Amino acid sequence: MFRGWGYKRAFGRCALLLAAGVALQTFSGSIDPSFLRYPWGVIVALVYVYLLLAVHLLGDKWPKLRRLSDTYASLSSLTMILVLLLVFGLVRQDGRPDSFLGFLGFTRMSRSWVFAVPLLYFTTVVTLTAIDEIHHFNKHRFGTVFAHIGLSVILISGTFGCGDFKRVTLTAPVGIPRHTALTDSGAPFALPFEVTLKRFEMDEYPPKLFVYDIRDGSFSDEYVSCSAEPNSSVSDGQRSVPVRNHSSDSIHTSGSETVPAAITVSGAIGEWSVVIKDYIASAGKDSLGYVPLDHFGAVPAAFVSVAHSSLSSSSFTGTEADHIGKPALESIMVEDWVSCRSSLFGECVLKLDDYHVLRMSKPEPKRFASEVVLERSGQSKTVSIEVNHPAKVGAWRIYQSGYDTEKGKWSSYSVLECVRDPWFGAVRIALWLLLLSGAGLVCFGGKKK
Amino acid sequence: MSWNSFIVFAIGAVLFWIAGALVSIFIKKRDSVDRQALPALILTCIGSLVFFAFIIVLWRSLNRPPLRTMGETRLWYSLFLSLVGAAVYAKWRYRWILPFSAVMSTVFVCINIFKPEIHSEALMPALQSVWFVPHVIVYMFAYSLMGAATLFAVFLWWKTSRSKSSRAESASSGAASDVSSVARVETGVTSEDLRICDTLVRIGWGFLTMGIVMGALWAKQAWGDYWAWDPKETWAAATWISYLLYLHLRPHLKDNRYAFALLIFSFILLQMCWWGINYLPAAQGFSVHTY
Repeated sequence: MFRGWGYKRAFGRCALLLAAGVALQTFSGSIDPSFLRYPWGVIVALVYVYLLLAVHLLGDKWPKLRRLSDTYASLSSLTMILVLLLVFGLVRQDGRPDSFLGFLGFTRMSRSWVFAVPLLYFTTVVTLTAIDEIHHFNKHRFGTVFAHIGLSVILISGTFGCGDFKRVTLTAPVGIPRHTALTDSGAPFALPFEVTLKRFEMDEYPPKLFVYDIRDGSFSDEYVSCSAEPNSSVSDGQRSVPVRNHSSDSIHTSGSETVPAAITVSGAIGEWSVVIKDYIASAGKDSLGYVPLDHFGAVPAAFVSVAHSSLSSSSFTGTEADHIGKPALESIMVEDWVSCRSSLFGECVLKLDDYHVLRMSKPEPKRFASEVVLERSGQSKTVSIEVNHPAKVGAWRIYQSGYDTEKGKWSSYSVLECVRDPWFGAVRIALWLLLLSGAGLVCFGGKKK
Repeated sequence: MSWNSFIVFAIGAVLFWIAGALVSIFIKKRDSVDRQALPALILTCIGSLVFFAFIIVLWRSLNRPPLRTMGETRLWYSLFLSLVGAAVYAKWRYRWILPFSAVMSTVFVCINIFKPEIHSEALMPALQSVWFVPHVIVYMFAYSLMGAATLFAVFLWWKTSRSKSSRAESASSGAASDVSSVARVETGVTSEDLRICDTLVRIGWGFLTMGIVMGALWAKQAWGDYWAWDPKETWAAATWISYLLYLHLRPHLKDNRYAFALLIFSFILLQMCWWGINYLPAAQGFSVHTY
């Protein structure tokens, strides 16, 4: 496939670069990107681009310089990067140094010279190609030109900008101003702004009821969801149940609409027929069962009847209205409250037989957000931060990362991640160029001869 | 309407796809098929419409885009594969493409029937982004195109090998110049075949690029890093580079079987990126993308 002197020379160059990477890794260990901190990252990047411009301009005088961006260089560098990416993907990236792969830095490839040196060569080939294409711009090849420019900017920014990238974690308790975060290694880091958490809020999906097999500790694939929207069954035999409003004899849905309390919906989990007769989204336990409670530690609770389908499924499944006047008591095996665990209440399960119990899962978070006050240089503003919607303060962005998972929606603190990435402005433009290039290939790729 | 209705829609769609494939096979005059090809295309598109109708219904019943689980991505893969097959047939009239795309789509439909993996309406907060739907759909379309390109590569490899063996037989029997041997040599890969293969890969790579960039923009918005060397990202980069190598390499090759082999290899990387990392020991516990 790769025959001829041109290929031999290009792949020989790649082999030398790999050897250089191994030598650097052996003598200096993994890369510490901190040496590229501002202003050194910018200076090195400018010198690098200046040198590549010089190589391009001197290419006519010294044709050997053209070999850095010819077809052989492109194919050999692509092949080398592909091989290294395969190693990257196949080796567990746990950073362990106690093996041959660890010695070569393959267990933390993104910090290994063996990867960085060939990547820099690949960046050089792509950038020289991009410079040449800008110099001899052909509007009919805009997709290819944008792809080369975009990739070049991303690689240069990623390589020389990594020293300026900073990610720290800030744990903000409600009402207490914080301006010190922690780095990955646990070292304190002073932020140029102050964060005060005003409120943490969370919306949750309705909990689910599963049959748990105590012999092997497995949960059933099927479940019954305690949805707030009646009759909105989802899949695999799941059914939803409306929420009972305890202040009146009616059931209220997620909106203001109310439906008669007699309408409940049943579901099937394997051989078990489940009817949820009552559901309280936020409840507390007392001596008689569960009652509505809007307080820290409250749990969702459902009053359920469960029968084995082999007994009398026809008389049991269906709505509660079906049972009015003909309760079919002989078919009901068990009936009681089921609830999940919280920091205040223990889990309440329903024993079905010697091997099976009905359990309620903890509600999954649907949305969680932190309302915070950000103060910088005497100016303050209140912002809401949630997943996919970070807040911006100067060069920093603040991301919603976590909360006290034990307390869930009652969490008294919020975990925020503060990220400083000053090179992202250039990367963003490059990414959009690459996106345009992809769209160009999709739209006009079929017309190319 | 729920996942339980899938089998009804699936059987309907598969029957239309098979009918379209059969009609395309039994069209006799390949060079004048414009009118005859229409029934095959219409049947295939009706099958895709039926399948798409189920996806829309499922989307409404789940109250979220059905793009979260592996089973849900397989739905889109089946749909797009049938559409890519129809598009290739509409443009280039390859009679084998509709049967192959129908079989491939049916295989993924069957996997979804026997192993649904669709259980929850919950959509975790990180997935609630404007990038979620375009990112996954663009990727699924890229996967479908690359699937079609791989089928094409296998077909062209077989064609090349058959042509070479024919030439070898002709040479050994000393009849290289007679009319019958010339006709057999012509069964080899033509420049038009290669152009179609390149076009499929080029458009597929365009979709891959869009998918990878959308993922990067989304990742920046979700957790601050546009690239974090997560195993899924590493394999996505390997797949992207591998197809890029094909696009750079193919025009310089004399023996195109190497290019076809590279396409098949790239498709294996793509499978690793799509679902393989769920089973790859190196990725366990390290990827936020395993599901």
